[in-house]
Amino acid sequence: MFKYVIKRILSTIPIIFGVILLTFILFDLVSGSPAQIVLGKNAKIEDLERYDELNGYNKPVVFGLWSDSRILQDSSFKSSMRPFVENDGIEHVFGTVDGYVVISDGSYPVPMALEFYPKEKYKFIITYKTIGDGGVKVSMFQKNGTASPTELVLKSTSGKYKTVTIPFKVGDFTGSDSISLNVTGGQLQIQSLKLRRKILQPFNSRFLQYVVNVLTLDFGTSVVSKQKVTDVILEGVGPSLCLAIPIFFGTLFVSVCLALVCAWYRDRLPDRLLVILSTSLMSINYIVWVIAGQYLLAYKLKLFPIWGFNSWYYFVLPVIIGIVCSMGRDIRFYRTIMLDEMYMDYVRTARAKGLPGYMILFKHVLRNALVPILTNVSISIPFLFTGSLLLETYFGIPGLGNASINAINSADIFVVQGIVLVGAMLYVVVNLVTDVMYTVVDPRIRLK
Amino acid sequence: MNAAIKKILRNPVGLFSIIIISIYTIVAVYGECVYRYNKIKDQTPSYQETNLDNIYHSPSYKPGDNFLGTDGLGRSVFPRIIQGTRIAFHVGIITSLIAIPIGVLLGCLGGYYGGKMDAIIVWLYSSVSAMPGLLFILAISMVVGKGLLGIYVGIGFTTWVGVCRYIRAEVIKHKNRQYVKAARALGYSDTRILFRHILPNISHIIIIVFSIRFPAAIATEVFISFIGIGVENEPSWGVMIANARTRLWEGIWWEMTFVTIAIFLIILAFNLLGDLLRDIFDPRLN
Repeated sequence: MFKYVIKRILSTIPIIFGVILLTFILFDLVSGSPAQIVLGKNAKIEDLERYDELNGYNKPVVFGLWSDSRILQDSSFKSSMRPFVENDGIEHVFGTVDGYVVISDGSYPVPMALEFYPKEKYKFIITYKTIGDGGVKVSMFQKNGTASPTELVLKSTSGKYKTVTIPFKVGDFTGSDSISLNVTGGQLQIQSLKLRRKILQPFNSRFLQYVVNVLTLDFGTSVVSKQKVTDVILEGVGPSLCLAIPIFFGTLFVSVCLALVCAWYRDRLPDRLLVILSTSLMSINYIVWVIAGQYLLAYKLKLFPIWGFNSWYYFVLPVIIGIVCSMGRDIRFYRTIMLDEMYMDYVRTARAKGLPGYMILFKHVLRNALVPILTNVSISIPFLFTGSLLLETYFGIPGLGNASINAINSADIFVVQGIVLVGAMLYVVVNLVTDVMYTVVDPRIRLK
Repeated sequence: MNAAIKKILRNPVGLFSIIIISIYTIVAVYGECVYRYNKIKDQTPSYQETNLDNIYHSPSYKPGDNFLGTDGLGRSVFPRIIQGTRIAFHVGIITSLIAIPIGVLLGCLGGYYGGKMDAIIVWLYSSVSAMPGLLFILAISMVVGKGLLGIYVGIGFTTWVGVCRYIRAEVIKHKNRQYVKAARALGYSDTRILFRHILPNISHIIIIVFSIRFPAAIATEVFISFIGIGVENEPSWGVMIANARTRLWEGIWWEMTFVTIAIFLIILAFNLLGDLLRDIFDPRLN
């Protein structure tokens, strides 16, 4: 028993890792620069860099020795690097896919958007092609001393692009326009000019930081309200549960009762009608229930308040709608379970013994059907916490569903991320707990 | 397969759902033609043209009039519902084309080979299924961007899980059947056994899964568009409901009602068909 529980707990670790990995891919890699989202599209580059440096978003994704730098953003020579390409002696050519520049002899300052971090290592990566036969001498130098004392002789053969890196260490100098590209001895065609910053601790990556943040339940702050995401979640859980728990138990009660009716009258008229009813209920969209319920019952008939969160009475209508919405699927599901049980041997035995039908139904069938019913129920418990997206929004209940919809509408990525993560973690934990409880109740499961 | 089709067509419920689905398919194809035609001609389609003299025209059955009424910008509701059908079919088909191949492939590989491969696949789908369903789809749509692409990606890359589970369980069942053993004894390769022998034998599951996925994807699209992070500037059913909702309170009922009926019928037809298919192919399940 103890061994099983330990094994089961260990088996959740990969799932938690998977959840963290998936959310990391979605919210960190796919969603783009968080600095841009938080600070807006017109943010100054200094602010973006400061934000990234402060929150560690300029670290490598998983592992890396070099990272991108905003000091010189990667140039396609198409839109960026404006001041550079307008230097005298530079011919700027737009290509169909990418542009390039042709540089003749001379010294060209490279525009630096920011200052270098002092005492760090950087490197330039130049993708180039030489024009003509001789080698072209290239060096990068600073106005008050040379940063790359080595002078490279570049020569490309057969007209293909080659890449060269020029490493340099930033001394104790400052100034944002102090690096120049020095070319002598021929023409050079440059496709791209990149700057990379040396990572001091290569394993100190964004993913590592993300994992640490998630495990310490630090989901950042909301972009819109500047509130801590953890606080947003804690505030929202209460109202969400107030709405979700009555819906949960109401649906369970109503659908189990109706499923029993189906089992009792199986293949007769009431059963047929209930199946038709539940299939129709399933086919009506959730949105329609919310809108029609609010319009007819609250607005036209004035039976319930339309919108708000003041007393228990405000919950009645959303709870009814919630029950009706999820009833269709559940009736059919529980009916299937009950009918499965009805064909079991023990039912035949009970009938042969002369037990009345209702005794068989309640004492034997219902009790045996309870295990699959409870499994179904336990699966939906974690979703209680994240609340109902639509009901909360349209009835003005300040729960997590409402918070998520607002966050999604305002692209408040950290709130969405926090709620998704908490929901997923709860799912894993609740599954674990129910599994362990099952083994306590039913030792046979352990052997499987 | 032919016997199954006959069974469906002989069953009144099956016939009903097939007829409904056929009508919708024809309507969707017609909608696509209208959409393409207008795109080629580079003109504003009639269902997008605003006509402020004719707003909230109630339904009228005179020929040539606005059959199902007009909306708040004087646009006729009927052609907009047709375009909504087109978008719904796009969503249903494309998300199925994403989810089903992923699910079938991973389910086959995991179920057949077992071992490490299976462990990785089970880990992957357990991780995805731990995500809070609809919210995760919304989050993906949000991150990928507004519009249909976000919906395709969001629904497609989350719903393969169910397909994968289903197929994997079935492949495990078939793995030790006689015909597989015979094929193995004949020295066929694993890929051949898996894709030429087992897969055709479980192909009915793909049809069942499609009949479940399709309406679910439509309903999800309606929800995402309704919330306002899905389709924009096109008459998706969700967008139409969102527009009609505000006017419902003033007694403008028709847009809301007809869109609801349109959604209801197609989803009902697919639900009924799905039940029937499960009855026919897999009696254990019902």
